Amino acid sequence: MPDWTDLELLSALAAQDPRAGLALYDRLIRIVEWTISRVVGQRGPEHEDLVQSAFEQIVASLQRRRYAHECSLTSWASAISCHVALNALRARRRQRLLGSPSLRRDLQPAARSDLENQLAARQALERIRSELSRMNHARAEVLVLHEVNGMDLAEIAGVLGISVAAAQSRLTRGRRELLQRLDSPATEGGAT
Amino acid sequence: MSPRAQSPLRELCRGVWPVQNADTEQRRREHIAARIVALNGELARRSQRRRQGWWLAAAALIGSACLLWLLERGPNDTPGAAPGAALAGVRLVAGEASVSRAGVLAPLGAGPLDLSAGEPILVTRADQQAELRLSSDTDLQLAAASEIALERHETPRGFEERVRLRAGSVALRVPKLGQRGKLAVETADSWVEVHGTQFSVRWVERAPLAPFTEVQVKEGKVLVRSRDGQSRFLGAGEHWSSNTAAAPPAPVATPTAPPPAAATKAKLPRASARAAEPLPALAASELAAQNRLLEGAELARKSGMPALALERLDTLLERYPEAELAHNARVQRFRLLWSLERKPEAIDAARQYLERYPEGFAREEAQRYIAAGTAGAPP
Repeated sequence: MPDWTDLELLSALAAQDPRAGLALYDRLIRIVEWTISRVVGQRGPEHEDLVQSAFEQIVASLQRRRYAHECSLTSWASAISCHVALNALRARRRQRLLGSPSLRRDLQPAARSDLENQLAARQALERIRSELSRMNHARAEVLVLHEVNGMDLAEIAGVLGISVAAAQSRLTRGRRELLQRLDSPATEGGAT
Repeated sequence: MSPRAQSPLRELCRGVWPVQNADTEQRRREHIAARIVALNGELARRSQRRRQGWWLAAAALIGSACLLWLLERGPNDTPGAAPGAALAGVRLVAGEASVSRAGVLAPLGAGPLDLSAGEPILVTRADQQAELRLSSDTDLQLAAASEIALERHETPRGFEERVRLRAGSVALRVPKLGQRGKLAVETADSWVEVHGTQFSVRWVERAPLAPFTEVQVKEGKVLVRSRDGQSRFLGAGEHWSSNTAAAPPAPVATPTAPPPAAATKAKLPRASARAAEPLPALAASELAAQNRLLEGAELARKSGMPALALERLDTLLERYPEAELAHNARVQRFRLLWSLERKPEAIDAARQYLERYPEGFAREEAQRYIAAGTAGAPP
C-alpha cells in the first residue's frame, strides 16, 4: 500500500482512488477498534458492526468536509469512534430496559464466572459503562477521549470543533457527574 | 480529578483483548475497505446530484425572476426592442387628426409620432375623430373638436405618459401597467391618474362658466386629484367633476362628445351675476392663462373649429376684460363672428371694439366690417 500522508490519503479518497479504502482502513483500524472495545466492552457480535459503522461515519463526515485538519486524522477518527461507541452503549441500555434476553445475560455475570474478584471487576466495568451511557453525551465523549484515549484538551477541542475552555468545562463536569452517579445506588436505568 | 472517578475509567483501558486470527482479520479488512470505497463513491455521486440540483434550482429561480421581470415590463420595454419603438409615443390607428408643432399644423400620418422631440399637440376638427395608440399600448379616442398635448418621460422604474387635455374629450383604455409605468390625464384644474382601466376625461368650456373637468370611469379605477389638493379614487361607473355645481348625478352616460354650447347657455346664470362670483384660482400666472386661452382660440380657428375658438375668446374676455390681451381677443372675436356668418353680432362686436379702443390698431378694420355689414358687401 502507498505510504500516504493524511492529506494525500484524503485526496485519494476524494479522487475515488480504489486503493484509498484499504489505506484508510489500515490507517485507522487500530484507534477505531481500541476506542470501541474500551467503551463498549466485550467483543461481542455487535463489535464488527460498530467498527464498520464507525468507518462509515468517518467516510460520510469526510465527504461532508467536516474534517477541518485541525488535528490528526487518527485523533479525529477516535472521536467519531467514541461517538459511535457511546451511542451503542445507550442503545444497549434501552434494549436492556425492554428486557432483551440476550443482553439481560450481561447483567448476570455470576452465571458465567466462577471467581468472585473477576466478577466484581467485571461488574464495576459494566457499572461504569452503564453510567457513561446515561451521562450527558457531550461530557461523556470528552471524558472518554481524555481518560481512555489519552487525548489532551487541545486535541479534543480540535477534534470536536470546540474551544479548549469548553473542552475543559465538559471534562470537569463530566468527571463530577460520573462520580455522583457511581456514588449513588445502581439503578436499572431509571436515574439519569 | 478525584482518584475514585479516575480509577474506574482507567480500568476501561486495561485488560487483554482477543486478537482475531489472520483470515478473519483479512476478510474484515477487505470487507470494510470495499464498503469504504462503495460508500465514498455513492456519497460523492449523491453530493454531485445535490449540487446539480442546487444549480438547477438556482437557474430556475433566476429564469423565473427574469420571466416575471419581462412580463412586468411588457413587450414594449423588452431590452431587445429598438429604442425608437419605446419612444415612438403615439400612432394613429384610425380616423383623422392634425399635429401642431411650434404653431405649424399638419395632418397626422400613419407612422409613429416621436414624443422625444418636444410636446406635440394633437387636434381634431369638429368633423374629425381619431383613435390613437400610445407606446404603453393605451388606446386613446380623441373626440371631435378636441385638443391634447402628449408627453412621455423615461423614469428609473419605467416610464410616465401624460395626456394634457386642452379641449374636448378623450376616452382611454389602459392596459395593466404594473409598476413599470404610469399614465395620467391632466386638465387645467385636475389630474387623473390611471390604475389599469377604461375611462374618459372631458374638458368642459361653457362660457360664461369657468371651464371644468368631467371624468367618467367604465372599468377599473382612477385616482383624481384636483388643483386644490383633494384626491379621490373613482371606481367603475363613477363620475366626477371638478365643478361640483355642474356635476350631474352619477352614473351618467360617457361624455364622448361635448353637448352643444348653445343648449347649455340658456340654463346658465347671467354673465353679470357670474362676474360677481369669485373666479377659481389658476395654477399659472394670469398672464400665462390669458396667453393659453388666446393661443387655444387661435389653434382652434386654424383647426377649423371657429365655434370653439369663439368660446375661448369669450372666456378670455369674460375673465380678463381689462387685460392687455383682451384687445387682440376683441379683434379676433368680430372676425370670427363674421366668418361664422353671424354678421349682426360681428358688427356689434366691431362697434364695441371702436368704443373701447377708438385709437386701436384694428380700428380701420372694424370700421370696414361695420360698413360692409351696412352695405351687405365683404369688408
